[in-house]
Amino acid sequence: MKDFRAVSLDATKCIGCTHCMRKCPIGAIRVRDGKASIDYEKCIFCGNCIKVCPTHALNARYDTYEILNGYKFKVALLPSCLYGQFPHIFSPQLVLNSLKNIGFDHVYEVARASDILAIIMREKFVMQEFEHMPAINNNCPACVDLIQKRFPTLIDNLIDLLPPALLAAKLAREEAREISGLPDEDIGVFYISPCPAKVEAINGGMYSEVKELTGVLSVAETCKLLNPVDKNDVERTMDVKASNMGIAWCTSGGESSNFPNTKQLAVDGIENVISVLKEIEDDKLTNLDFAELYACHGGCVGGLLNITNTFVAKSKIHTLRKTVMLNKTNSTDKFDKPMAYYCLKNKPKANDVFKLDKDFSVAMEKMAKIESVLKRLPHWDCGVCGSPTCRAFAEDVVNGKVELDKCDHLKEEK
Amino acid sequence: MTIREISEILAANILCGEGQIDTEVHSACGSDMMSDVLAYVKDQSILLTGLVNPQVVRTALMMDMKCICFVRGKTPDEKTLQIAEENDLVVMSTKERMYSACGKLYCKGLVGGAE
Amino acid sequence: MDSIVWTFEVDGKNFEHAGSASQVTKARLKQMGLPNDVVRRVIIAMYEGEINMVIHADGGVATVTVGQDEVVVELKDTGKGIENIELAMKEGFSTATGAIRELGFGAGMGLPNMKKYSDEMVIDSTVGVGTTITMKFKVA
Repeated sequence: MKDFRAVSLDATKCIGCTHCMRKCPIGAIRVRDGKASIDYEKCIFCGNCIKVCPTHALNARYDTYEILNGYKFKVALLPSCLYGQFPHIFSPQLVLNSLKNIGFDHVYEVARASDILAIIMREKFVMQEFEHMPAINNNCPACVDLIQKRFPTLIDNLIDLLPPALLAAKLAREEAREISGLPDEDIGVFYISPCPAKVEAINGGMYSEVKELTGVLSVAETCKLLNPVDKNDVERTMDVKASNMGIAWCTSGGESSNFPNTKQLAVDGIENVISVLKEIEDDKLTNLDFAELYACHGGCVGGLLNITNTFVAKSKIHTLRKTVMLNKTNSTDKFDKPMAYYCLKNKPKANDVFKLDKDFSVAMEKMAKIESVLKRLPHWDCGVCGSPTCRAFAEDVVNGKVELDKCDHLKEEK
Repeated sequence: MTIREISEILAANILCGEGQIDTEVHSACGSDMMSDVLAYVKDQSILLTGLVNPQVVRTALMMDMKCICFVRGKTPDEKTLQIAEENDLVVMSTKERMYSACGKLYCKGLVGGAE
Repeated sequence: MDSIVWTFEVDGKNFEHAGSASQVTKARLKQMGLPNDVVRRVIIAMYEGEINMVIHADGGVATVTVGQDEVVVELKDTGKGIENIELAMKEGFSTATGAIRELGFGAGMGLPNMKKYSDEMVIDSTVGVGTTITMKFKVA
């Protein structure tokens, strides 16, 4: 566990405006005494709050490039969205090579892991091994976290394979050992993240079962350092191994395109994800095989830590898929390990942070109190009290977190 | 090459999907290992196999293939054919062995999908 | 405290809001920590019932009572009533209009589903007076 959270709040810059509180899809933010605060138990690290903060009090945090200094052999895990960040650069090879120019000894494309996962999943679909339909992708940690906290009934629908970034970390470290001949402690494997959710998953626990990862950098910081127009790059050998199917995973619908003829639904944007999960939970979407969910609009290319406009990046990825620059068919990598290697050891568990109480009778009493408080409130959800909705305010009052007189409407009544 | 031409080259019986027989195919894959078939996405493809079970049809559908040709005169059961029929997949059966069936199609210009 | 009761007005012929009572109920039941499978059953059955009230009866009143060991959902309308309950319970039987079917409802699975997901269901219906359906769900 690192000493920072992927979404951090600088209270000195906070003006208590409530923008972040209104944009939080899960109600994890409160504003008390003129300052916002995040309940990290509830936060899913989607980054919506960072986008709307007018004073930059909310920021995304990640490792800086200084972390590379501690390792003799440095490996970059290249996320496919990085290819989309340079609309004027055509060759993925240039992007890959320029990573080597800024200090990495080896680059492993995350799309190579996606290629392997695609084959495993096709086999699972064909053999009808997914017990709970629809199978839900686990590539977006914000959506996995959302399901754990708000949709625990769907926890078994999440696929139990490693997300691409984690499989990439395991395979990259193996390659690095072979190439460098160095012991593990001298090899640093760094993921370049497009979003705070992945930073938090790596630093904060969700991805902690994979020890092969050393740190997590950001796409934005990396783009600032990269200079992919260096002519010398062109001389280097071609070693892009990802396929056009693999790099598609960074855009919404890309993963699904690996499974033709399945009944699939690709959903992007956290608010859309929530509404679709509600429908799946209520059995309203029947006969669905696969649901691909991304908290960011457009998929990972829409992540907060990208520098290029989502739509430009998406279009670049689509163009790239059609070119001959990439391996057209699929994985060039062998996948010859036991199935357990590709699976999560710790399956995600329900995390009922929104439950009123462990004890059902206490929960019932609290619910009754909440409703009696709520009857007195205006239902305007004005947010002046510092809670996102009147209902949330009533809950806060019952949980002893705020005084009832913080509601301006009630003051006027007196 | 159209599926009709393939059936003529291999002297194959069409078992279902006759309506789609003039569909163009660009590549072919001959395998009894469904995992190998699942590893390569091909464009407008035909699968030649000696394996007869519902998984074969589901594999062909997963990979968006247009046609399955069972070699050595094998024919699938009703249930397997039904899945194919429902999904507009052409299914045929030839007396040729796998090696010669693939060889004949290759000679006539239908090459593999993966480089 | 033995039980808690919520009442919802179900707005008839208004598909934009159809299902809102079951959505609100779902959020509250989850918050109270009812087992996931119970919440799921209650919501699917209640949603079907709510839609029925909109399709056939111009709305009505839904009452949810949550007790220590059971959840009771009562759906009361003053619509045209069910002529033949036995027939209405058959899967696939439907009197819904074409317009309703175009919206994806009226497949004749409403009542059978409600019966399937609840532990006990009682239909009290009088033609021309209205229908009251009471569903009970055990909290194991």
